[in-house]
Amino acid sequence: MRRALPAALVLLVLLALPIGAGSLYSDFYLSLAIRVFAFVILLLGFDLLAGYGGLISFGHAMFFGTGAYAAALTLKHLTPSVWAALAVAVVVSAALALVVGFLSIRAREIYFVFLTFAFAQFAYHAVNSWEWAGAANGLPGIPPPSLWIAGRLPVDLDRRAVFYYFALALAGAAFLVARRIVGSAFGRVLVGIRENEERARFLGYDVTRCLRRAFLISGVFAGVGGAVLASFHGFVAPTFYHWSVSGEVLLMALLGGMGTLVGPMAGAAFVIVLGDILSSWLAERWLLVMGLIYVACVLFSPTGFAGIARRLGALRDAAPAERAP
Amino acid sequence: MASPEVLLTNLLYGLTIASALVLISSGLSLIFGIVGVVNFAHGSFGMLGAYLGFSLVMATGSFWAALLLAPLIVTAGAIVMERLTLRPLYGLNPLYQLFLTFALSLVFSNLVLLVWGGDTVSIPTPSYLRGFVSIFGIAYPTFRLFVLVFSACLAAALWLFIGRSAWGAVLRAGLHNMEMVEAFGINTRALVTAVFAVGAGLAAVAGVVMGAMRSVNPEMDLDLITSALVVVVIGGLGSFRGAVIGSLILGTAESFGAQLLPGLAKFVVWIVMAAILLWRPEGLVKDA
Amino acid sequence: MSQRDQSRPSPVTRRAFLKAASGATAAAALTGPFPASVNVARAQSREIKIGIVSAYSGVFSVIGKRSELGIRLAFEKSKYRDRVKFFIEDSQVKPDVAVQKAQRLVEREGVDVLVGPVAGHEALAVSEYSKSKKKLMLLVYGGNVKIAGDSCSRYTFMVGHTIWSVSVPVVPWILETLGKDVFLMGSDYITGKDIVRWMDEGIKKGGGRVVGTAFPPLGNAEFAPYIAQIKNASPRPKVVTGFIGGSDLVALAKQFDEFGLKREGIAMVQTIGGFSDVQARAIGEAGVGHYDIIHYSRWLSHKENQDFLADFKKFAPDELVDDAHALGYDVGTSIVYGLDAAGGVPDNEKMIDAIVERRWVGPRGESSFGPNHAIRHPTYVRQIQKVGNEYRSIPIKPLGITGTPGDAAGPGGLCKL
Repeated sequence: MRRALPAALVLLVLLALPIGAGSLYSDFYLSLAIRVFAFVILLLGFDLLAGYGGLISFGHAMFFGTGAYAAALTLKHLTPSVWAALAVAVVVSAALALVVGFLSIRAREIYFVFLTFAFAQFAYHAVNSWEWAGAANGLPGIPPPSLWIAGRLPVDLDRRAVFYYFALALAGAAFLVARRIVGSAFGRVLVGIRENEERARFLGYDVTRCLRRAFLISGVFAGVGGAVLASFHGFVAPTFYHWSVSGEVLLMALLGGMGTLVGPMAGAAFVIVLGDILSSWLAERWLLVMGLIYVACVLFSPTGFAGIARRLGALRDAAPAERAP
Repeated sequence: MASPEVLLTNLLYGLTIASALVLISSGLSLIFGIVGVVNFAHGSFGMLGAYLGFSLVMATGSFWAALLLAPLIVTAGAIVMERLTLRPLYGLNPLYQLFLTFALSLVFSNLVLLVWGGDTVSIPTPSYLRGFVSIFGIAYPTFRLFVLVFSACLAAALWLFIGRSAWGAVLRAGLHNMEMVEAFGINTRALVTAVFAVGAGLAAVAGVVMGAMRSVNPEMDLDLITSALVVVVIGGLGSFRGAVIGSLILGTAESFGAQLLPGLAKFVVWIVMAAILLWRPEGLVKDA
Repeated sequence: MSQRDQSRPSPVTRRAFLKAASGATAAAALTGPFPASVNVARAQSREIKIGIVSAYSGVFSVIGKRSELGIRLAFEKSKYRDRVKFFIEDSQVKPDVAVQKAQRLVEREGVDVLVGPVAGHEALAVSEYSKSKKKLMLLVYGGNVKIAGDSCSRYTFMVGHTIWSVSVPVVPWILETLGKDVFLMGSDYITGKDIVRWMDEGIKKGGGRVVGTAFPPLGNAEFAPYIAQIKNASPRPKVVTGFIGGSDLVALAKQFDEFGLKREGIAMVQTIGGFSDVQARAIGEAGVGHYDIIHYSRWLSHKENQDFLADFKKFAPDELVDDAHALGYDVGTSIVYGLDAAGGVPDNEKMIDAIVERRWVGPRGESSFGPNHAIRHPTYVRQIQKVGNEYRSIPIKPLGITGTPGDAAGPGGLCKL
């Protein structure tokens, strides 16, 4: 219950943010926040697999990009309904995650990392050369989506504040779903597998099946994140598939503290907002400063923000701090 | 099908690349073997070696000075880096070391941009190593032949060192079980630092020779680390033999892939890696 | 098409007149007691904000920094030097980041004019954004043919070039001067593939023969397998041409020499100014004699270029001026020209109507814009020569003025503004 107050405060601020946009501060910050929401959804998916299941994927850019392209192609060629775009993104990224998960889950640890990396690179190069997907140019000029359902409620998402609430709602829903999964029996089995795979197997759990399911869910989350960013920007490009996206995801998750859901979300917000501020301030040096900040972060608190929060909480409760996983 | 001349050229070229890959990947593999660190900044050692080599050739006019001094400077830097940043993190989840080394590689590549700028440069080679020699009727560049022989000799020396020397025996024991080595009263901290330093030095050597064969640019660290990681993952992490085998596979796949699968060259590395990992999910070799 | 462009009068229609008039009354109403002239004077003394979203990190950062210097020099020499303020953002050569940065510039900083990013995909993405915001954008690089074709925009000017305008025009010269048997090589991504396709068509139309084609991956540093293909092509090519990206090209040129192709007398011609002075220096002896095609060289002798170089020497003494500086300068002078025409006020619509009519002799030579807002620039064949201890890329043959057609048969499709 101690956490309820800060959570409510954050939610209140997020809900109120569009009110001042355009007058107190620029509309631009809504755009930045929408980027954060898209990455939050992606990070939640990543954390389910990596933080709870113990499988580090270096291929999540592949699902992020696939969701983005699926949504973009739907909006461009089929219907301006954002729900249809999301549905197609879910289906296509699920199908891809099913195949990649089936093939990758046989490997573990660094070998799993590299198997997913190989598949993602494959997808990146493929999308880069597919003419129908715009090749390296990607697909510009995607019409603005609408919240259209069966002829009712034709709310145009073209207005930024509307899209902001839409993305916020999606990110909130993703968080609730992820928390539900983590709290379920399935979530506990995942943690059991992470802690001791042999033991989970002896207890009669089908480890491979569980991990495949986690991979599938994770891929769908990533796809939804991509779909949000693509429908907001109105274009997609192969850079959505670039390995640096997968790297960023891992970085954000580690920075926030894996296996906590809230940590990776905070990590996403931190990296995106700090990156934006620093790169505007020091256009040429900002990556050097970012790198130094990362080094300082990991040396100061290897377990991320969640570790810091835990330590602060531990001090207050005078209880022994947990050891990092 | 290609002519014998083309096949031989590709084979020689594949071996040349493989020998350079052994230099860059063996340190990465061994450091993983003894302390479980995947050092993402390993490619940066190669890049720093290449840039220092370039500056040294420009300053002294001697390629040999660059080939000797640049790796020594990088080695010294690597020792400092290991002591100051990595050492506090040993024993934690390997992901945190990956995070740290990634952040360090970001710092290194941006320092390179600051010091040397973003323009591509390349390391001039001695005039007597230019031109080409004839092997079985095909013309092969002299400098590449030098790289092949030089890297192969270094790799062989490393192999002998690990396999025959007393230090090598300790290293092999460490790859097997670090705690046991510690229990024998051997200074494992020094061992780790030594392996780290030698690995970084070899990567810098590879950086200098590759910088002379190809080009030197602020993104080459990523090329180097990707190739090195692919090599050790294919071969099996923590194994020197695995690194050699992985290098041979990747070198020949790159040289023949461009020939046999025109238009698919960019996929070759990933196809090979995915195929090998699907077949052997823990790499090909599982020993020291 | 060109005639239509040249003879287009600046239309003062009834509607435009009414609009302008009502704007004036509205402004007068807003300023209250102040007479309209004070308002104008105030507008003319207000800050002019230029937002640059370009590459400032990674290998492309040199392009971002150099072109920025060119833009700054143009303003330094203008009457706006004390009024201009620059806002710099790093696009990281990623379209989604580039758009986000453009949003920051337009919506938060309220810039008057955008200068766009360098890669084709990000230029296209930001062009779409600037169109939706009706914000004038000038591109230094970003030579995506789509922006000159079916994705063209009233608000976007391609001041540098397109990948078409600095590649295809060299084909007749190759066939005439170097030989009819050509081996094509392009980096395996959209730019390399497009250029190879266009050159292939041009060579066949011009009576030449394509004896082989290869697409090494982008970022490729090992050309031995491709050199083997050149050696095995029959008949042996006289020329190897196409497009190989930046640092890959340094490796290619060195290995081209190592494997003896250069000694054999096979010529190499690169497009989009692959062999700049900086590249020539990196390649060294191995590059001497190779050709490329581009619109600029610091060794151009016309007065405007000499003046430009002298100004740069004063402005930034340590810079080795190359095409990035010259293009930045052309972008800067174009903005200044537009500002002059709009009476010193950054009224985007007026600026656009003026800039499209601009005809000038810049560092590159005689330049103007096509009706699709794509630049028409002089084009040169350059050759790497050794002068003293220096490797220089010296223009040896002017190819006339080239642009990028925006019609249905053009490389980017039909442009409808």
